[in-house]
Amino acid sequence: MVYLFGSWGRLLRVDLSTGRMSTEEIHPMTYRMYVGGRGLATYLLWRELGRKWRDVDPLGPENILTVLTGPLTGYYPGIKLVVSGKSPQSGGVVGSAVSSHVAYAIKAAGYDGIVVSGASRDPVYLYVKDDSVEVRDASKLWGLRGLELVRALRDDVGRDLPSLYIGPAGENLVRTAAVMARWFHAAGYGGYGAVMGSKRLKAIVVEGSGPLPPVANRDDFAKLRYEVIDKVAARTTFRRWGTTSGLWRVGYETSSEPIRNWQEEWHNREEFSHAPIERKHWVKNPWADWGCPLACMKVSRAVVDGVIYLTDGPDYEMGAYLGSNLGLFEVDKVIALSAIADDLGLCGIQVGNVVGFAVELFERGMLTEDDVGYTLRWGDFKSLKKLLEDIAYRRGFGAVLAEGVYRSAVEIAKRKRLPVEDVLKYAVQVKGIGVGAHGIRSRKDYPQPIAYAASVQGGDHTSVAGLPANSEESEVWSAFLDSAVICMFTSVEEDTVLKFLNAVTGWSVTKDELYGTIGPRILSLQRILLLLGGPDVRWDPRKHDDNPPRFYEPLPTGPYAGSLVPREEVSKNLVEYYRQLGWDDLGIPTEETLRKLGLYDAVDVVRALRRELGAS
Amino acid sequence: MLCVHFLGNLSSSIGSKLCFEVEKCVDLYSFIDDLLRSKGGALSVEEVLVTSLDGKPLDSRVSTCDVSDVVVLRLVRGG
Repeated sequence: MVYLFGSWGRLLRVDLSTGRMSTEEIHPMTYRMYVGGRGLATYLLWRELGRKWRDVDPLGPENILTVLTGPLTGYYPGIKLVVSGKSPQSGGVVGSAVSSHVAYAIKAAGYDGIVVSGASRDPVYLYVKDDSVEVRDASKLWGLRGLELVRALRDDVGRDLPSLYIGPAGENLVRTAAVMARWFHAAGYGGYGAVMGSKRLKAIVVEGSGPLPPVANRDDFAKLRYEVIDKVAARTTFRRWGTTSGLWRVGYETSSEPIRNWQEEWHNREEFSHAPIERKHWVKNPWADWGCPLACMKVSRAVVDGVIYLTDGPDYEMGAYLGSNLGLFEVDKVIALSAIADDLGLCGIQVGNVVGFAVELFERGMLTEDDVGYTLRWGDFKSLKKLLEDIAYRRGFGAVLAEGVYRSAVEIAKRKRLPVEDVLKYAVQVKGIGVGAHGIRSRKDYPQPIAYAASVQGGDHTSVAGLPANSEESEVWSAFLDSAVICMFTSVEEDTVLKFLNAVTGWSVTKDELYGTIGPRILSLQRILLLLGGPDVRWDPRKHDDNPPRFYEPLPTGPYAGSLVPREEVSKNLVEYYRQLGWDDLGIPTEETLRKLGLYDAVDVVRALRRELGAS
Repeated sequence: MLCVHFLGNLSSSIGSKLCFEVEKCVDLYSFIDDLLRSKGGALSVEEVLVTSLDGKPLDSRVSTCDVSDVVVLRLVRGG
């Protein structure tokens, strides 16, 4: 008998094509191999779609949407869940984490997660109350934006319950659409808002009234929980300023903030910092989900043109991508754009990335008013606001940008009859995913030169690659945090996190196992699925395991002007990183590695992949 | 003598190893905090992990006189 602690070993499955609902038992050994969250999502996607991966349209009914917790959900301070599926951005698998009470509710309802397959003909939402699961009519909710939707859902279910939902962007299959939670929280990377939209699933509401699954060692768990709470609560700077302080720190001090589509990464605009935001705009500080001792969130309020806007922070990524990256340094207007993106259900990073790309093309004369329908200028709030709306509703030129930065570049090149590389060089993305707002050129920020080039989640700044592969610098650590599921801001040193995991689950996971098998197993499967890609994108490691061209240009301004990353260093470190993970020079897991990781069913797939790529 | 070893990107921005003569015993975390701020990495000690050479996290009560080698790596990433 194999016992399971920390997880129920049970998933709720809903097929929206047939209306069939069921529970699926997951074997305890599967948890031991993949932990939960991102790891379990990757396993499920491989198992169910792996053999036909290339033909699976991420926005078709054959894709599955996974909403998974991890064994530490509800136990470890902070509360997150991971949304996944075949990504409409990369064609691979992205574990997209979001803070949400839904995570706790799912577990308290007796499940480890929800897996949605098929697609409904009419708009629906899913209402889960412990064992009772209903697919409810959402025709009156379809079309609603975030804030009005949350109110309408509350009226429909009779009270304020945790929910995940999409805005108009997800409904309109915008590839930069996020799965939203609690007004301002987003599972942005991956584009899973569009996957929900393709299933005509407006929201998932969960009410759980039961206990959490039992833990293996209650005494150790209780002691470790207090230890972690103490450590996390000591991060007082984080609590006071959240990530908003990055607007100044990352821009002025580390010189790694996107400015005007990454043409620069340094600014000295004091008005564009956390100080004026704290003074004038924060109406709630700190703000936390599920008693998180870090409490890094804040609620800000701004009035622009007589309209009141509410948003989180804005946190650093939203502020950078919807502010400096668009040449907008007026914080009230940045708050407004962040609130608009939230309300439309857009990922602020991805939409800020593609809009910055479009503005640069316009400024260079590669796009004109005839193409866009109006003028685009850096820092012009009105046109930027309009463009966000046009993207979310796929209106006019917005429909082109709704495809995300990579596909937009390809389409614009086609329309303009330009070589695609001439347009793609302005797209700051890796494998279809806009790069997060932490540059690599100054070397003062955390991502290493191979951070994005080697990541199995492309430009995702929350899942970066780095050497050595057996340390917290590696993407193995991110994959583990997303599988356990722990917020990266409340994570502590690996020893304590592993002790915590073992106390809850009764396992005896060591660092060697984490870095030698569990992490590489998850990353290897993600890597294989990413390289399989399809149906409209294929990534060749020799070409696409690389930084955006802009990152090879020297920084033009700031204290690190002239700094760049040499291509030779990137190439050398990529090979070394792959070697340490047991992959070949192209980053394809070797057959020996696959066998060691127990991924026997991937051997023939990888053999075919290697043949296709002309690799020996 | 206290030597501070940096891992990851901290090693390329600060240096892989810096050594200091310890003139008086001060709180190790304050020392590391001052060091990080002086190197312009925009980091505070709250965002890093300080360990012994064999990777054991060092307690905040440790002083600069208690240790001869410490390792610093960035713990909190992203944001």
